[in-house]
Amino acid sequence: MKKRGLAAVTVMLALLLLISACSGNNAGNQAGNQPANDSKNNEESSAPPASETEAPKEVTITAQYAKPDNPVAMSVIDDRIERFKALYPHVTVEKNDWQYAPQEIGIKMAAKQAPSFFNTFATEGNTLVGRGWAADLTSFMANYQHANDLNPTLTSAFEFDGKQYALPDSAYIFMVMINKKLFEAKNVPLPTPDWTWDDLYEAAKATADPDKGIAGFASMAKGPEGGWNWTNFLYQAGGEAQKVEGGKVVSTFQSEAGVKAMEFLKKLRWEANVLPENWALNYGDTYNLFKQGRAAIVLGDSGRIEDAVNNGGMNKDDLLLLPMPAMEAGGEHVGVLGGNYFIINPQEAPEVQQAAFDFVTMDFFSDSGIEAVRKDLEARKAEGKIKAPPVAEYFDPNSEFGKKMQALYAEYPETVYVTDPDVVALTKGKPEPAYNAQDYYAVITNVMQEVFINKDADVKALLEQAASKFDADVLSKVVVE
Amino acid sequence: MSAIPTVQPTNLHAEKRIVKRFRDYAWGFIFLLPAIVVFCVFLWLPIAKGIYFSFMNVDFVKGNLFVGLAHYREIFQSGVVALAARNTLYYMLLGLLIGYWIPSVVAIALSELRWFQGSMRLIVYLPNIVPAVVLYGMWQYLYDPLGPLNQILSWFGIDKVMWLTDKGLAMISIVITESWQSFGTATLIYLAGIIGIPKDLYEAAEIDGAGVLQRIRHITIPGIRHLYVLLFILQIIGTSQGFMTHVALTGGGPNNATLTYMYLITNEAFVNLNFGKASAMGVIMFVVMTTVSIILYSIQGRSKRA
Repeated sequence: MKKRGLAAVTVMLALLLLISACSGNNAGNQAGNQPANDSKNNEESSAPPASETEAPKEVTITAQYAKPDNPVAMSVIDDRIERFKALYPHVTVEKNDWQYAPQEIGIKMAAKQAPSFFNTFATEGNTLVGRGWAADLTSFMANYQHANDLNPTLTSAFEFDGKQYALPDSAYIFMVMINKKLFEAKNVPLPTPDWTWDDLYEAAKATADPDKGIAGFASMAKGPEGGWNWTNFLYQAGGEAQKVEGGKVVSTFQSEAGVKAMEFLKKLRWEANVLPENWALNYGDTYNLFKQGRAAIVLGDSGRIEDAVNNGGMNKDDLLLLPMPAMEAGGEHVGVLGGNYFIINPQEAPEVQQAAFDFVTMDFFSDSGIEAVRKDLEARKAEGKIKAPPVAEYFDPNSEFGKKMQALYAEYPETVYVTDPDVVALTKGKPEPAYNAQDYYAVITNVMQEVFINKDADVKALLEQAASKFDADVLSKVVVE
Repeated sequence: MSAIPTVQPTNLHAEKRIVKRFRDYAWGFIFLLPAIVVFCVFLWLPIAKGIYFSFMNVDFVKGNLFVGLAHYREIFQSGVVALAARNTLYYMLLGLLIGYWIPSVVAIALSELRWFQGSMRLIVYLPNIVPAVVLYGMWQYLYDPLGPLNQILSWFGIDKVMWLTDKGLAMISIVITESWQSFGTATLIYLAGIIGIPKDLYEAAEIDGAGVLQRIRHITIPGIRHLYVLLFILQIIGTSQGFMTHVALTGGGPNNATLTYMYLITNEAFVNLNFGKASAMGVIMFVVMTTVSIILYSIQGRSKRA
């Protein structure tokens, strides 16, 4: 009886394995190991447009929508959808409020449920393009009149083999955000834009009040975002996260600069005792702490200023944006340069991809784009909300369109938060690591955590150990093209 | 002379037997069919697919690539996997030490209550119905350096305890959170077992002059002995797959101190997008847990027969 049961289980398992093997990803198997992007799609999409007499094919696109807790963004997108429908009556636009997350994109693509386009960050280039999850925009760009007007500083992050895989949205450079109220409460003078690590140390020490739960300085340190924060200090110390050597990518964050950057955080943690007692903060925790008035200094950018005022109830006059401190006087104020990009879903039919491309670029370089921003500013003004434009946008700020946008911002001095031009002039952006950035950030976070829990941690040994392990496990598998 | 076809009586009987059997079981099979389909689609097929994927480099767009045992080799050579496995064993052990015995004690105490037993059952079960988001938010607040737990400790002159950022304490804090959240279910199972013990045993014991502790020792505990084994197995299976509280409270830190095997699988699948390796890790877990379950159930069977 037992034997018969065992045989039945074995047969069942074999049958299921057979079924699962047969029901594998047929589409994928057919595609085999073809290049990341479906060349057939591109050929079709670059085919000459249908004659003017022929009615355009009805298509449906899914447009990325804002989450319900962001009514300002919702109304902006609603307005755009209405205007798009008027221009392209053959396109039906469906809303999809999914926001890009590295841990969800794989599932979305496997289930073929990703929106027709989505907004992602600069570090995702290798992942998305390498896995064929970003459409090659060459054919669309060929017919796009403003293809050469896009801000070249931003487009390079998604250029692979001379092909463009994303449309730029905006860029940020990490700066430092200060809660002026906490400085005033302790009569601490505000730092000046040309400040250094020593000034940050002193300011954080003077403003910290552990008994009241106020941290002088708060860095993210719970998830991979910890490594993202730390990389700013690495860059200020003149270091790099990785380099390509003999066709291989290798870590360089364990350099002397890396040791200096990690030693500085160690000093803030143990010598100055200015970090929050519960230092294991993720992205949201850090800015919540800041909004609650429990952190005097955090890393941030204009977007965080906007969030602190619009969603945190802070007064924009109580906030100050400074460049990253230089390691030493006269040094460079370097911050991590990152950005947001629009990806067209390659799983969509060519005509849907084209419609998604048209939707994304509808307001680019156009008067309708200026008007849309004006409408948005009016709405924010009425609600007492602000807009803090990013340090760089899809257009060149010195172009004619860029100047028009600046003039518009100038019309709303109370609504638009303008970063001090001196601060912008001092700030230098350096791109995020090109290969496996999220993995690298996670590795650094572990080192940070060890430094934060162990007063006697050997920073150099920890970084070297992390680098050698990361190289062996991750970077050694990277193919440099 | 033509041959007259004859029906073999044995074949006729066999056919009749099959038809009869079919009639006897037909409705049973029909009623089972939906369950079989659901199990196939949502359980057995995913298990089989997991085994299949574990030999593949999974790429949902470009197609899968057969890699043989490469993922398994990588797993057995990985230091992080070994660390996560050690952490998981430690977490399971802490679960047994901190959480396993509480439900039976509470259930026995509840069964001895003469008044408010119904209300107390409800109170005991309440933590189970707290939504996870609220639960984790509440425990983060409780464990905050300036939170209520540290305030209470400060009344006794005890220094602040870093519940979630101390390498030695983080896992214990997680187990306390989970024990609090889930002990209600186990308590109800024990309580149901206690209620099932014949009342005349207690009456006889009382007549013989047995006190509360003697009743518990000689009647209640032996009466629910089989439940101890069952809940032990369930706890082992449950804790071996734990990772949600770890994600919410510590993110696997500090420095991987609370990184469990299941957490690593989810990271591998949904952060590194390496579904093949994650599947291989899942298969190893499946094999280990199946083996452990078979051993424990056979022990249970033996103890029942004894």
